[in-house]
Amino acid sequence: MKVLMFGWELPPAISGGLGTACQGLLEGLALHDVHVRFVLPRTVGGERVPRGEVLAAGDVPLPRPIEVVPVASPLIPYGDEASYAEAQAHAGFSGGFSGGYGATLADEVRRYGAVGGELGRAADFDIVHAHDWMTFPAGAAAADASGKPLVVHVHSCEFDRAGVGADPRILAVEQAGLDRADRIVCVSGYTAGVLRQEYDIDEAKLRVVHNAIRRPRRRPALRRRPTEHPTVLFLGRLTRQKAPERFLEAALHVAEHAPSTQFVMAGDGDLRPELERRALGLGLVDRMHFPGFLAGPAVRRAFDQASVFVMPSVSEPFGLVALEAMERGVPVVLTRTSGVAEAVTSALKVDSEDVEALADRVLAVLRHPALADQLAREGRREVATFTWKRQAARLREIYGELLG
Amino acid sequence: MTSVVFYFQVHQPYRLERFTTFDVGKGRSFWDDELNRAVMERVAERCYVPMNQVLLDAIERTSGAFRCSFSISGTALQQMEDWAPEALESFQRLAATGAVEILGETSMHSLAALVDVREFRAQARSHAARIEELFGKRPTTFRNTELITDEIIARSVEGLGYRTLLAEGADKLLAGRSPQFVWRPRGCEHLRLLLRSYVPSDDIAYRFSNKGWDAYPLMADAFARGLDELQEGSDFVGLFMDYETFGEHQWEETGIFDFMAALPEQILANPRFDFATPGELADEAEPVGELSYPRAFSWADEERDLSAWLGNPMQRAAHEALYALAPAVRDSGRADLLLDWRRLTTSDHVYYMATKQHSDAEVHEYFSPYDTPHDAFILFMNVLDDVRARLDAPTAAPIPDPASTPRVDAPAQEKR
Repeated sequence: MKVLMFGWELPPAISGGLGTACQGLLEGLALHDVHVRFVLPRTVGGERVPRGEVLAAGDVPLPRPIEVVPVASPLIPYGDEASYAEAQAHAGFSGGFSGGYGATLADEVRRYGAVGGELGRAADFDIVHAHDWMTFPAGAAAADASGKPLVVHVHSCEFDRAGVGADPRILAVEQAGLDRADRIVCVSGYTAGVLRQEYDIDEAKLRVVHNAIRRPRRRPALRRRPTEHPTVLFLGRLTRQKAPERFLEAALHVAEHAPSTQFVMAGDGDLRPELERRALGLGLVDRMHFPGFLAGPAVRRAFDQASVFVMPSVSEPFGLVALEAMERGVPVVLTRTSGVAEAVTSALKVDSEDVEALADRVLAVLRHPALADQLAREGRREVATFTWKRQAARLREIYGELLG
Repeated sequence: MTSVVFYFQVHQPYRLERFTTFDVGKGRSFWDDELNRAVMERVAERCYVPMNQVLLDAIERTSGAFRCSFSISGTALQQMEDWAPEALESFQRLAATGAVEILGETSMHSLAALVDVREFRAQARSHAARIEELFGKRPTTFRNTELITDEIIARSVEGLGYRTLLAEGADKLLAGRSPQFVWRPRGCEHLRLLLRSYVPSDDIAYRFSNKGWDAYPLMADAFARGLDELQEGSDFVGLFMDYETFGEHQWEETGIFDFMAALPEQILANPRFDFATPGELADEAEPVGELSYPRAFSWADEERDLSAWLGNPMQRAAHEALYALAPAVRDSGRADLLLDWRRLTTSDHVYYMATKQHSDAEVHEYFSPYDTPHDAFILFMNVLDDVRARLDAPTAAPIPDPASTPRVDAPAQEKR
């Protein structure tokens, strides 16, 4: 089985959750005898597509130049923080593709679409698969040109990211891609619900494939979490979708009952200055730490120092970070408005607006070692069932439905 | 002659409502009376009242040849009295026929027998008095919570003056011996042990409406034939089950009422069978031997052990924290506190915290009013904190009084 797949990012280039998930799926699909030609706006070298190949859109010759229409304001697909910083670095990149998320994004998405059409003409594949809205036009063009079925994969949608402040241009591209698709793969039933409700998508086209995580080569033994000066961790973009302000409000409740507790709000984003101001105003400044954006070993260190991890997101398509925390043996409290909440049982779950319940669960983990130990042990056991091999098998079944 | 011995367990716990750590010490009730009332009204309507009528009719039709027994927990009795008095009256009518025996148990359907003998005896005694008051006869047969039994518990039961004890016919206890004879637990002088035959019991209680089961649909005549194959000249077959099986776990639409209505005549049609209550059987049959308990057995889950209630660290922590309060609560002389604490000893509270895998987990989830076992644990521990705070407080309800001793959480209260 051959798949023409359109992505926007892939390690080792700096990438967010989308690139990590695509990498996992590629590795999983290779184990199920699926050959993938993975197209990126541009490659940096070192991308790995086992049993497949990677292709840079800039290397695809186009029969005639594409007309470029400049847009007044940049599109910001994933809010800000890492991708935003990266976008700044790529600004002014004009030849070919930047593969970033900068001012030229709208233009790049269109030109990427043209590349999709060109690649589609060869029709030397069975399925077209496109990841998130930036690649939907390319996927649709390839499917149109080849007559092959189109799968679009929703890792995140504009509604989750922006809520009522959604960018109408992005919504339009998303809607067109979703409508055109023969199957829509969602990272959660929660996201499938959002697509049904907010994009009016037919239930029959929707499929759910949860994310997974790679098993680390070395798994440290589970450790007792520090109890004398416990630490409560938030880790994510400091932006509306992730609800860091709820974390702050819950921290206030927790601090009243457990004054020796420390709070870490790791990540960067547009809300950071305001959060720092509020922490100061609430008298939490000596207990609330803002270490900024963390990556790699710093993330693992943050997990190892945490007594409990909190993910208070208002709308989270999946929430891979919760699985990472569980793998690391950290008890997790998360909101029900997330994909991961439906996928795991070994985490404490609260309604997203219920700050009191959130604080109650955090305090319970801090106070009751029996609960913390149980969540840590069960959580790690449960996470082991989330493998890319298994999720890729689900994906292959979905391909199978389309090929009859 | 082989006797069919029916024992039905009637039980409803007092469920807790949302109670966060921020509610501790504020004099708020933690019982979910709305839910408890709704469940009691529903179960009374769907199960207790109609099923009692089925049994009453059977007793009348057979002129008392059909006989059975009930154990009704104190928490169920109280809720019935408060919210479904018609159900209580129908149980009283059944008991008045003389064909129905009402058993003794712990008033709170508790696990006290495992940890706190003093509490166990207190709950057993108060329940026996209540049964006598409501049904006119002091119980002589005992069943411990969830049929949890070992030799120590059996001796305690004997010490309370009971003559008969019901327990699970677990394979690992019997080791090839038959559950269909009367046994004596090792260490007891005269206590008769009547064991549950779990296969035919679960045919009714669990498998009855399972369309994937090869004996589906189970008919009364087929069941009676099955019992005949099973009896082999034994003394009795113990059919022990939750009463909520009828109309609640197995809905009326499954035909469970019709099945039970037809069963007495189907069984009595066979001259090798009659019905007996546990007490009657124990009067007639001598123990065939002694049974020793290598550990405690219950009627729950695959393992028939205590893991449904004390299987994980959360359950054990909650159980220990609860009973650690026992002396202080009993010594406080505060009736309200003692009643609240006793209602927390109901075994369902730790049952809701079970984190079992596979098929048993479905059974646990079915019964739990809370979202997850972890939530059940947190809620319970918050409530225990409240009991502890009340023990420390000078009065039952916190009365704002600047002159009184400041409470730990007083500043938090003022800020809100």
